[in-house]
Amino acid sequence: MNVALLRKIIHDTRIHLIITIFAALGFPILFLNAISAFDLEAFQTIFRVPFVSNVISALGGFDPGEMMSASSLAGFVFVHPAILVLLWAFIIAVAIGRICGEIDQGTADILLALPISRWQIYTTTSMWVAVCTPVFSACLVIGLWIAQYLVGLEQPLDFGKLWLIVINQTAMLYAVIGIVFFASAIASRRGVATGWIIAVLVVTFVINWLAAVWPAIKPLSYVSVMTYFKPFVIVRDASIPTTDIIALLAIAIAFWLAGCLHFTRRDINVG
Amino acid sequence: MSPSPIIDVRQLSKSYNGTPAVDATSWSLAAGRLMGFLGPNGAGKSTTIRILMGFMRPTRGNATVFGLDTWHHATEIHARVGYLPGEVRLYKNLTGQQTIDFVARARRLRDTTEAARLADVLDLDLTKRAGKYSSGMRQKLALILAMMHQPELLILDEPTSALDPLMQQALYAELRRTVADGRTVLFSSHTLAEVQALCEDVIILRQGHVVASTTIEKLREDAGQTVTFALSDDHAKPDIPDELTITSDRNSQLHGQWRGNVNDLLRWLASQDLRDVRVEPPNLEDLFLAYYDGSNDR
Repeated sequence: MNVALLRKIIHDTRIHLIITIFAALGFPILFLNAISAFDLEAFQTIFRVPFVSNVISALGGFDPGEMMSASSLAGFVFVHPAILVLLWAFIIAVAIGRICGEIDQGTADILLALPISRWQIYTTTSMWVAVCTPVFSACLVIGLWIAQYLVGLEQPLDFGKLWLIVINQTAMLYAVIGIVFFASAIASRRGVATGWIIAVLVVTFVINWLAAVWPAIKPLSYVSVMTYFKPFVIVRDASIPTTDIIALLAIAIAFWLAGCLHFTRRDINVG
Repeated sequence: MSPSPIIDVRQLSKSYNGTPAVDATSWSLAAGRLMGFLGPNGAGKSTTIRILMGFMRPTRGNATVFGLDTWHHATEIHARVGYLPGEVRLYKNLTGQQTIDFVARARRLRDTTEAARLADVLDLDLTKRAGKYSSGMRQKLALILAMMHQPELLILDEPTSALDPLMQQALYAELRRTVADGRTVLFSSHTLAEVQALCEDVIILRQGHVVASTTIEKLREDAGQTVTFALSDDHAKPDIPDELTITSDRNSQLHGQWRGNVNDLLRWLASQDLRDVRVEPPNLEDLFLAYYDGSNDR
């Protein structure tokens, strides 16, 4: 890790970081405020609709309709598309901006001429994103904690279970980080890398959803990182899905290492 | 025994998709010298420099700086080298001073008085954001970043391309001072005049090959003079002496290269019935032609 580079990355990403933290804190408050207008039975009725049930299962790994609780409703915060887009956007912006963005905008010539190895550039950038993502997940729980007092729920939230979701979500985000850093390491154009990453994440999301409504797709769902993110299962079982977390970390390490090896061996040609 | 060179390039080749950009070039640069790296755009200068900086891996051959392989020991080399890229792009969100501070921290350089002195010499406002800089200001800041740690070796890729004549002179003075301190400079350019004015040695590249590796003094002797003249009688066929190689004959204007005694040239010109005449130092193209002719002769 290189301290000078880390300071620069923090300086460059500070506004995006603050916006993401505030959004992660604020979203649960808005979300719980919105759903507090309905009682739990109303949600159970909605979740019995097959299409809705399938979508919810795809998002959270389990249909919570049968065991509806305030905590399982709060689990939606972690899989809501707006939150996923918010967190993925931070990862993409930092990883693409610092690795292939330097090549694309030509500043790699200044950066790489310093006595900082490519390995240090890659690991320092990765470390910053890897530190930020669990903070964002934690902000969602803190936001729920604040919301509980502001909104006034029928049932209290079980924060023991919600903190376990943070572990699973962090592992899922690490897998995304691995994939994004891999794309950033092999590309020389920000637009190309971002396009590929968005395509991969959207396909991941769609496969996961299709697998829930179309059994023929089920075997494909194992390539989707979302398959291994199961907040509703965590709320139901009150335990960490260890196998899923191992799968996510394996994806993270495999892609991150492949990106690192490529970045340290590739020709850097700016412009 | 002669000391080992600062830069040593041996049979260096680099191809892009099978097209050679640098083809089996070999040359070296001794410590304490100011060497011009001359060639037109696309000659392979920047590719060679990028290999020296460890940004690219050679297809064949090898290059060492301070005796270290440029690909495997890039970080160690960078600690002792200052580099100015051919096309300067800076962090637009940082001011000049913030950029200097970042580079100083990355180099673990506590004393930035040299950067402040260079900013003063080059007359650069460091409070502005780099995104607001003109191309000349960007060039100045990049020069400061390259020189602020007083490196043992400076590699400058066309450093004067965006500088006005006054700043060019200031830079030349800094480079002469650098060499006087016993440090080494590789100065890439496509302008012969500035290389002749500044450098002691010169490598000339063309289409990926080393056309010449010589001293400026020898280059001057070999290059001769460029002569352009028009005869009063458009149909006359002058008797061209052996020392004059005509390279073009367009619109009754003859253009060529004189390699011989200047007095003999003046005497020959005086014997002709001329409508116009110009005698100049050779431009890069003429020089290449002269070298190619020379190599063909040999």
